[in-house]
Amino acid sequence: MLNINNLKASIGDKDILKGVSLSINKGEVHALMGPNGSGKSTLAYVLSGKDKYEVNEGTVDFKGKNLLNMNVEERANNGLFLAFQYPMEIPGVQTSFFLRTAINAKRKFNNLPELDALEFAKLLKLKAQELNINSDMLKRDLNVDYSGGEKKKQEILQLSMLNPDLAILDETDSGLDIDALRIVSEGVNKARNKENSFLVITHYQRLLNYIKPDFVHIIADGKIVKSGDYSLALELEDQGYEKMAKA
Amino acid sequence: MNVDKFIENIKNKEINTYFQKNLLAVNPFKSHKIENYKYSQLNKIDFNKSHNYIHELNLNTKDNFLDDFQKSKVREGISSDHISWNFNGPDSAIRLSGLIEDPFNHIFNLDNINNDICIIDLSLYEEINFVFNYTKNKKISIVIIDSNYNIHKSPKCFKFNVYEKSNIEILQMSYNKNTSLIFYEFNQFNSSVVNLTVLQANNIHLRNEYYFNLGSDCICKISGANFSNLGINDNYSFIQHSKPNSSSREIFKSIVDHGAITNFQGKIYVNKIAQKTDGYQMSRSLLLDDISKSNNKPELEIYADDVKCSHGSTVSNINEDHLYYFNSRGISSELAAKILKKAFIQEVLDSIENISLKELSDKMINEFL
Amino acid sequence: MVASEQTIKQVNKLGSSDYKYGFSSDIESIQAPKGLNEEVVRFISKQKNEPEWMLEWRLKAFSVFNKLKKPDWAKLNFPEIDFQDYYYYSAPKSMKDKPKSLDEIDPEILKTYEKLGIPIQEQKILSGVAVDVVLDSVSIATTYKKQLSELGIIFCPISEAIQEHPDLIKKYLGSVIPVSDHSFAALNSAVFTDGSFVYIPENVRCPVELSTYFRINAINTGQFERTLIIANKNSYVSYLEGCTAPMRDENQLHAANVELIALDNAEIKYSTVQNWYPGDKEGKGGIYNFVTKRGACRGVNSKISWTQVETGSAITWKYPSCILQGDNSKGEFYSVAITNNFQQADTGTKMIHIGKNTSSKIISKGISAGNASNTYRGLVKIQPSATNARNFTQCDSLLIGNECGAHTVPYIESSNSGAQVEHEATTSKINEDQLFYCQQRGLSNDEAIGLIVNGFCKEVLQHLPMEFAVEAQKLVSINLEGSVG
Repeated sequence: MLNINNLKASIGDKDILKGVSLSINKGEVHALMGPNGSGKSTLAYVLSGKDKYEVNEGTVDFKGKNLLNMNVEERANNGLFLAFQYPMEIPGVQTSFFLRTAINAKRKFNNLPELDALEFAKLLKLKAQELNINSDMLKRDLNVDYSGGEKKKQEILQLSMLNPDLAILDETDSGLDIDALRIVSEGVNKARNKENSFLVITHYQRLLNYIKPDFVHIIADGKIVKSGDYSLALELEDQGYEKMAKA
Repeated sequence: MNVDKFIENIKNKEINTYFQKNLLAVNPFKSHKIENYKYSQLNKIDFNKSHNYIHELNLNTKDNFLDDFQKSKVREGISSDHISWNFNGPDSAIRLSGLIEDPFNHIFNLDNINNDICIIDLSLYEEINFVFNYTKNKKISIVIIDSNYNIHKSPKCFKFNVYEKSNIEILQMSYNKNTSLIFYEFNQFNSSVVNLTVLQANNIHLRNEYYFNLGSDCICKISGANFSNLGINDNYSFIQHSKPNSSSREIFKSIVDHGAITNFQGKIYVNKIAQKTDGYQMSRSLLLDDISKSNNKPELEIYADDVKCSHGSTVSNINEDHLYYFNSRGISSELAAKILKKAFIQEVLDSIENISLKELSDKMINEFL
Repeated sequence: MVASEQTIKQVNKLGSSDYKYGFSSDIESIQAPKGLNEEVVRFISKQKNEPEWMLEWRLKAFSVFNKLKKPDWAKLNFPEIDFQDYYYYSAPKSMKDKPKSLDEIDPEILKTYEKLGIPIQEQKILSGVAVDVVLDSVSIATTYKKQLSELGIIFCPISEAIQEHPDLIKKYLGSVIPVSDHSFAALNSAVFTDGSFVYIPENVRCPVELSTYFRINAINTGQFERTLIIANKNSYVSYLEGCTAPMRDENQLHAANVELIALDNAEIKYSTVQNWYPGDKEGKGGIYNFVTKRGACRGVNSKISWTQVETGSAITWKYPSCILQGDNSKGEFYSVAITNNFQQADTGTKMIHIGKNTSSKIISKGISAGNASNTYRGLVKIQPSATNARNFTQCDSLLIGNECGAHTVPYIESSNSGAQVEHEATTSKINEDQLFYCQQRGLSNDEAIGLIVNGFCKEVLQHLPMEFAVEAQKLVSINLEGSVG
């Protein structure tokens, strides 16, 4: 699915990623953990193609294509989804209208006919119910005046509607209370299947109680310093980043 | 005096020769016939009206607030032997002549001021044009006194070259049934700071123009309050952001009553290369009766896309609910109105950084409000 | 665009061969000679078979025009207009001069129609293709006309109204926009060729949205349109100015006058979507649009609401205004102005508060891209008599790219202490993080800009009638295509 090889990236003249290598196969869930400033979110942005970041070295292969050659929307339409740590507020744009526009952009890209209003409404109703999102929220402007929890739920709703091959969750657990965390995690777990993959970026092991990863990686100072299975996350919780990063 | 005569007057004072020497980048005091100066009412200016009051004022000096200030604070500055000034001794003041850099062009070097505060009393000077240079990193404060002793009846043009990283605070006080025309041109070099506060009260006809040209990383603040005026009060500002990363903040508060007219026109101009400009402009008026008038024209002209600029303008009377609240606590409407008016211009007072100037301004406001 | 070449060709043809001997009386192709003089004014009046008083009115306007200076305060930059270089009268051309089929129409225009989702038959009408469908349109118009006349509503070309309803015309024409208001108003008064006349009688709520669509002669309306709408006591009307698709327009200069009059408790809602030819990407060609629109709220509790979406024209000079005379009357102005490439717009409103408890609301959204210049210019004037008047103004500007300009020039004049006036304005650039977010969800740059800008304009667009709003939204996106965020 995704093959990152020795990826180096910077912002301005500051190097942030200093040679990241990572392979994610179909059906796998990987967790990426690390302290503040280690490069977690940068990796998410670089993979999604944010132009502030400059890739200096390395390759990224996504479903057999060179990801780095694509622009942001091509990556998205090829099946890469980023759940933002801070979802954008877009005044004046109704949430449901945005969702429909995004779905149809992808369908158009795949030469599928656009969903008509009725089909879309059915799908949206179904998915929204699963996430306990009431229809009022969908009528409001995208993320405007949403609480932190609502914004994150909305991101997961987009994820389940767009059905990506690879979803990157950038600190989706931040700002969530325990109930919201459970609902969001359930949403992710429902979206999981043998054909798609997840990269879950988080500070805390807490989220991984709900979304069980197949692999856990620890990133520090722009490099993956340790990889292992779920037990690595527990070990990390126990010992802290500093010790683990050194080890 | 009509406009033609007035312009003639400016010509006689040889102001044109200054333009030729390029000491000023902009021609001062344009007529209302130009759309950008729509609300200027130069054609209605009449110096003689104010002049009639001079005799009365000399007998009955209303500068007490200033006297106290001078006694307690001034160690160095520029002032006069005017009968109403009362200095403690020869050390307490220096004349503007002590700062002369170029006597022919009236260029003064503010670097020569040793203390923090310098006072310029406009009543002493017949000259029209003044150029001030300031290069020091240290912050200085200048008080410009524009009272009705200005028997010379000449307009005043100030040009300030505020060099890199220097910092000036200016307080202009116009009061006492005055008629005057004052023009400012600020040339702000990179990383300089100018904080200009203008208090205008109890005047017959005032016209102030402010031109700012900002380099990069500059801060420019203009705050103005005008109240208890008797005729036309006219402020025009043009803030040009020429380079990136500068911020400008402009606040004008007017309290208009008894048939007075207040005009505010201001423009923030952002050059194409002046990215990351942060511009803010606000004009607010309290219009207290139906024979008075408030005209406002806050403008934005923007050619750079990565900027944050906003402006606002409001005109209204004192909020009746506020008055009612005061009344309900046993405070008379008259006192309540005074308190609310003071509160209205508090924001301008707050923008003054120097404590002594703040105290002085507070006294002036209390005197005339 | 080919349209402009066609225009030039046609104009040349007309000027040189067919009409060099002066006025022709062939009803199929009437054309006044090039230029502006008293003869032309008389010719227009004669062609319209106008009564003497109307001719006098026109001649008076013409003499006023000759005395007035062109308004010069707008922030617009264009060469001086040579008024002698235009045709002031051209009646509908005969069917044989028109394109025979859509194949002869500029494919660029057709592409735009397609994006707007305009049905083929309608595309043909809009492109001026000679088809029978025009007849359909006549029947539609007549159907409506019958329904409307049963209610006592008059909806007809203004030339017809001059013949049929001279009392109303004499009473109201020029009563809101005096002939001497400014030179374009005077010019229009002298040479206007057609436009709409609407009269809603007392206590009638017009059941349909009136639109120039319903009138067959809207297809070839001349460049000097005159519209007069009168809403009598307790009546309501919503009027749509139909240029919802780029008209294939042969005129470089437009100077329309629109007058609205609302009597006691009446309400007029006037919506415009303007998408005339804006000139090419280098700024060549395009329409000069000098429009005077003004409404008078004469009666108590009356209301006039202007909604405009301005996306076309090389030059837009337009200030739909409200004179709030009646106590408790209301004025509203909702505007979206989009300029791209080398377009220039100086547009806004005037709200003149005269009556007690009058209120006005101004929401203006300006979007500037390419090398364009976009100015909001608006006056809020509170007269001493307007006790308790209220105004709220919100102007937001959005810049896309670094070669364009956005300007806000409000004039606020208050002479009543009981009035409250509030003005707010912001200028910002299109938010890059919002763009990125949309693109991450698979939207292209153009789609993302279209979506965000439509969101930015929503407050205004939601005031348009439903079917108009949908087209306007598409227009917003189309107009900004290719601008870099």
